[in-house]
Amino acid sequence: MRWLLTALLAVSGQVSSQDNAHRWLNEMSSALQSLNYDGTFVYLHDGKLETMRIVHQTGEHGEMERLVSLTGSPREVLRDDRIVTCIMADSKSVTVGQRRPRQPFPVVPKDLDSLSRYYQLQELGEDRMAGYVSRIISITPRDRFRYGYRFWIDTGNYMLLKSDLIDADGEAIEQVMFTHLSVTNSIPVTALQPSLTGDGYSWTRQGVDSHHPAARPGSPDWVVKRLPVGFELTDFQRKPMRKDGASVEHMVFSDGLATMSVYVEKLGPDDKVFQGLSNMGAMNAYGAVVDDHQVTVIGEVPPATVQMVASSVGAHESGHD
Amino acid sequence: MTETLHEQISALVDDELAEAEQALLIKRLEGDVTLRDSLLRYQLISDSLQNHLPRKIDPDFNVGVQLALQDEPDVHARRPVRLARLFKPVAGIAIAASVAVVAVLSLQSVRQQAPATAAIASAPVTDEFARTDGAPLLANTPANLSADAQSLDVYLVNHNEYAVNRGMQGMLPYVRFVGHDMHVDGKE
Repeated sequence: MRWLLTALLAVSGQVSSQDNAHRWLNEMSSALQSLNYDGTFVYLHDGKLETMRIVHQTGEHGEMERLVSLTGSPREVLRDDRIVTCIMADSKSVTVGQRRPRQPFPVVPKDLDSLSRYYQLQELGEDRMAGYVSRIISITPRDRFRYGYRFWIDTGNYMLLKSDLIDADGEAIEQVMFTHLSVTNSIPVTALQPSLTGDGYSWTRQGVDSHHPAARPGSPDWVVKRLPVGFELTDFQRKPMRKDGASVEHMVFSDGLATMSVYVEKLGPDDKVFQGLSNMGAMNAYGAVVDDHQVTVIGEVPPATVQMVASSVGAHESGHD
Repeated sequence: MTETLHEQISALVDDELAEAEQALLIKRLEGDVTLRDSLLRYQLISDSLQNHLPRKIDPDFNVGVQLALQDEPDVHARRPVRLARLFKPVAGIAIAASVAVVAVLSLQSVRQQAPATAAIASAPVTDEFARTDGAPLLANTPANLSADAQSLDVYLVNHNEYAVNRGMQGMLPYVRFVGHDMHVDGKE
């Protein structure tokens, strides 16, 4: 009987650890969106270090956030409840997109049972980070089609102090770590103002989204035939994203944590095609051409996953234009 | 840049580089812009890790430093700047000194990126998609990929909003955007 008791205790311990980890993640998600903070952090990727500053405020007018590079080429991202603006001094370009409505708290999937089929959630103890005591929470994928995460969460206010993005071998491929963080009641207006301006830059605006009448979702003309288990279609849009005004099909797949976008656009006679793999840190993209259409898959998943998905995109049986 | 040079710069920032190597490295720094940029980054990261960064750096600070230096040309002509000593000044002036080094060395690049007049906040945002033909966000993009690199920019911003709203990444999607350029290994 002792072995049975031991086994039951072990299982009970795992469930408790998983529940606790889930609770910590919920609190962290809420803190990231609801607190006012001004912090400096380092971003480590591909053996390089970048230093950035983030300023975030939640007030009566909603959220406002400013992310600015302190090293390298000047770049800024400004977000409020309506739009997101990316300003890049190196390429003298500004991209403005409409924000999607926020998901209600928490951002962490509520369906823990479903999530635990693809990831293992664990508490890994405490550590000191940026001068604060933090709880370490780990999310480990159960296959090689997705990445894992480790979060260092402030035990006092649940702010994220450090995050690692982990590959299938357990190696950190991206790290974000605060070196200074100030959580305050209010943020000065000037701290949320951009230091870069867009004068003389090329501008790209995306204004049409799901709620816009120009978006005619309907049903996809294209189908993804191979997806890692657990990924499901969560959004579908047909949007005029090309410069000639033509529509692009956009399918979004998620397993609850990781997200992948599949874009399909008809190639024009002068279009250059994108084939092969690209990456921005842990965000990978794969381009393929299928029946005179450009297929682009982007997601925070391993390169093999975007490649597998892109290579499996085909026309739906009902046909396409 | 070689691994050895990285190590030397790191050691210089930490004031752990031997005297002889210091002289050689400083000589190289004088003639190598890339190397100076690396030094700046190491120094800023070092300051950041040690919480030595001020909450706000005056963008015009470097101009003041340059003017001050212009008034003292003879000092620089006769005596090389001992960078390592500037990096570890006595407590109390640590922040100012390190910012001064950053400001002096980054003067050129900062000036090239001097802000223009129109504030980004005042830029009009319409409900219509209006795409321009300017340069792509992605730097170092192969010429044959310039058109689709722009598409990738648009897709990245669009995808980020889905990634931010769903999942555990918090600010990471935009950190990537700000942090570095996309590496395109694709082929036509």
